[in-house]
Amino acid sequence: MSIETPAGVKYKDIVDPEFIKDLENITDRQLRVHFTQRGQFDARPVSLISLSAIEKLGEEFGETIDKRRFRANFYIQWENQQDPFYELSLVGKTLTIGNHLEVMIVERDPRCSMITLDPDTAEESPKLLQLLARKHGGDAGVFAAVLQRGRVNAGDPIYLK
Amino acid sequence: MSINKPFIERFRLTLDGEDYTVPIDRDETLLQAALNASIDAPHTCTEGHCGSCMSLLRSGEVAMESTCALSKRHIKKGYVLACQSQPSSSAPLWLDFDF
Repeated sequence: MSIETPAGVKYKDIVDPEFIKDLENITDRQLRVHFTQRGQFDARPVSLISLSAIEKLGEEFGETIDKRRFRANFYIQWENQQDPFYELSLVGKTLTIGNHLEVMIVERDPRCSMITLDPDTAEESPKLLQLLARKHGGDAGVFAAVLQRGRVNAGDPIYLK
Repeated sequence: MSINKPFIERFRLTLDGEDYTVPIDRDETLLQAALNASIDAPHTCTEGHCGSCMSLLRSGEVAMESTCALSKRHIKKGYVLACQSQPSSSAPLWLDFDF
C-alpha cells in the first residue's frame, strides 16, 4: 500500500515510521499501526442511532445529550417501540429507508471517547463513556451496509423488511 | 515496548465515591486486577483505543502498552488507560475513576 498525504508527501508503506511521525505531528497524539478484529470507528459506511436511545442515555447521564456527539448518518424516531434502544435488536435485519435505499444492520456501534466531546465547546465528559461502558456494553447505535442505494430525505419512513 | 514487572501487590482504586484496595498479580493490568476483584470498572475494548477505562493516576507509576485513546494533554495531566497499565515501580499506586 502506498500513501500520499494532502501535502504531497509519499510513503511506500502504512507502517513507515516517517508516516506515523507525520500523523503524530498532525494529530498531536502518539500513534501506532494496530490490527484488530473489532469494528473500527470510521470504517463502516452507514451509522444509525435513535433519538430515543440518545434521550434515554441523557436520562441516565443526568443531562440532555446533544445528538451530534454520536455522529450518525441517520437519527431515527421509532414508532410504537417500548425499547429505547430498539435498533440494537436489529443486527442482521434489513431496513428500507425512503423508497429505494436498503441497508442491512451489520453490528452494534462500539463507541470511543469521541462521544465525550461537546460538539460546540469540545469540553470533555468522560463519565458519559464510562456510563455507556458499564450500562450498555459500550455500544450506542448500529452500523449498516448498503444493499441497494437510493436517495433519502429527512423525514422519510423506515420499514423493517 | 517491554513493560517492567510490577513491584506492588495491591493498589488503591476509587470508583463511584468508594475506595478499594485491589490485589494485583504479576503481568496483570490494573483493569484486569480490578475486574478480578469484582469491581465494576468501566471498560469496553481492552485494546487501548476506546478510552472507556481512562482514569487518573493520582500516585504511583505505570507503563502502558498503548496510549492510543489518550491525547498528549491527557498524558501530561496523569490520565492512563487502565486496560493498558501495569505498575512499573514500587511506589504506592492510586487509580481514580472519579476524576
